[in-house]
Amino acid sequence: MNRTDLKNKYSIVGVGYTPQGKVLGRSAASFYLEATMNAINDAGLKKDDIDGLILYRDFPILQGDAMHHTANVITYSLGIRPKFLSQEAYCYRTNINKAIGAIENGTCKYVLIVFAESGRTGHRTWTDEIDLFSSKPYDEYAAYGNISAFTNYAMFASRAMHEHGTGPDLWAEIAVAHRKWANLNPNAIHYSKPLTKEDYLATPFLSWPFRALDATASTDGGRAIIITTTERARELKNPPIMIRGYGSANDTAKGWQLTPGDPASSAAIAGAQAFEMAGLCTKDIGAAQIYDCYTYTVEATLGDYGFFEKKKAADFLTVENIGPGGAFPVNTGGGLLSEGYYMGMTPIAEAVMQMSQRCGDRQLGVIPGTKLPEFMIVSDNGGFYQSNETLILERGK
Amino acid sequence: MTQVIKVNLPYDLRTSSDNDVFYKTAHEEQNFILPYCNSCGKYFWPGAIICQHCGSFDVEWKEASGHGKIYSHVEGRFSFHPDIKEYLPIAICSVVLDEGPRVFGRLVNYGEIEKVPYDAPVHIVWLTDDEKGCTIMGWEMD
Repeated sequence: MNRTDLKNKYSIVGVGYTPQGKVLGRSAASFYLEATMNAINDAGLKKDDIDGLILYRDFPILQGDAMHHTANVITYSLGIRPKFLSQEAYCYRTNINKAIGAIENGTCKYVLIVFAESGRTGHRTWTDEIDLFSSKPYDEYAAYGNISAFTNYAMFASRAMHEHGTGPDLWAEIAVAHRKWANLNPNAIHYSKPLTKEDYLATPFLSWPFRALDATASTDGGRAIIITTTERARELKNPPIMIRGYGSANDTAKGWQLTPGDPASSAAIAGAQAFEMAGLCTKDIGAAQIYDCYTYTVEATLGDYGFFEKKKAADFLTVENIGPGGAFPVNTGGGLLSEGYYMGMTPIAEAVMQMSQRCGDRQLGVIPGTKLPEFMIVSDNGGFYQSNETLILERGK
Repeated sequence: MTQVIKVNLPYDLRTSSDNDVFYKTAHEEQNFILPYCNSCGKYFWPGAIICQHCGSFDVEWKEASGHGKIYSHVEGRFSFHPDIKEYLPIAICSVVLDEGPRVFGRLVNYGEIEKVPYDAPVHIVWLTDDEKGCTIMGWEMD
């Protein structure tokens, strides 16, 4: 089979949101169920229609939950009998491949992908594995003092300063552009908190060369999407947002071993697969929703996709170009950095909402000087930039 | 003889039975050894049952130079976990060894992190915690 046979054969037909940010008194399980039911209702389906359920990774449970949020536990509460269940054990990205595969092989008709968390209220620090895992410390590098994802990404970004001339001045532009988008998104955690480049530069380094504003933060809430065939999607109430191309790839490097500009990075390979399947090039893409766990991740991903020469990232990644009203909008909801951390659901859901013109004040084509894109690229990134699924979405007409 | 600096490490050293010998040799003999593949002639790290390059099972530990160049470095200043607070700041680096593999370590005696040059030549310095009974890699500029 040729991968291009799948071009536009699958669509995203529903998106489920929940209250988000700091939401007291709510279990992660409750967010899983709310996001799931909202996506089902948004698509105009019944819960019994969902015959495939895929969850992002399972985290150590926090206060308010009695059980791990495994796919079978969520299934019991939903009262459904899916044919296919799956969940990432850790942060490698497989969801789109699995969803399309399960439908393509005839097992499923409607596959729902969901992530939910109570990390803000529950104080998930990204290092709590040190306390919560059964074995202490949780890996070899803890003895060295490397206990956070932050450190590994900072090492990746630090080398890029040397290789490509990037650094805090450029990352400030990315942080501010994301915040300006969030300031137009009432759902965003930072909706009412403006940010300037000066504000960014005045904050301390947490792990040089990164500041807190270079990173996303834990949130409460959840988000879900539903994938089905475009043929079935045409019978549903939302306009189908078609998957014109997708790709996935995984790196052999450890988190601290990443090489900026590696032509075989997971993003470079997954992106090339997606472009090839879609029969498109970077010039065809009107906007991007990029997995922005860190500011530099946006630079690395768009650079690996080929949107700019890596040493010229500073010309492309300006507030003017990627922020509201810019020629190449990036992360139009505020992204993981300023909207909320729902793993790949943050960029994918925003892409679907934009392309179905449900974005209010931040809607592309409504903001003066912007167009509603025909094609949008979306990245979902896992591990430490080691795992990537890339989507190129097309607006159904 | 490789220099040994006595330190207090923030956490116990967790090693795998595949890479244990690396840390044991460092702790007991202060020797720097690397996994080496007799089939393809390349070094790798950490230790594993197969060669990372060619997949051969014909691998052994070999004494190595303990010299390389800094690939990247950061300086942790924020207490991501309460138990690490008293040890901060901690500089962490990756080093491309003369033998090829890129390894991990603490950067020591470096002055200001902003001024540490990329690709600077470095040599191994063992960081030993007597109480925890373990030794990890430190790297110092030549």
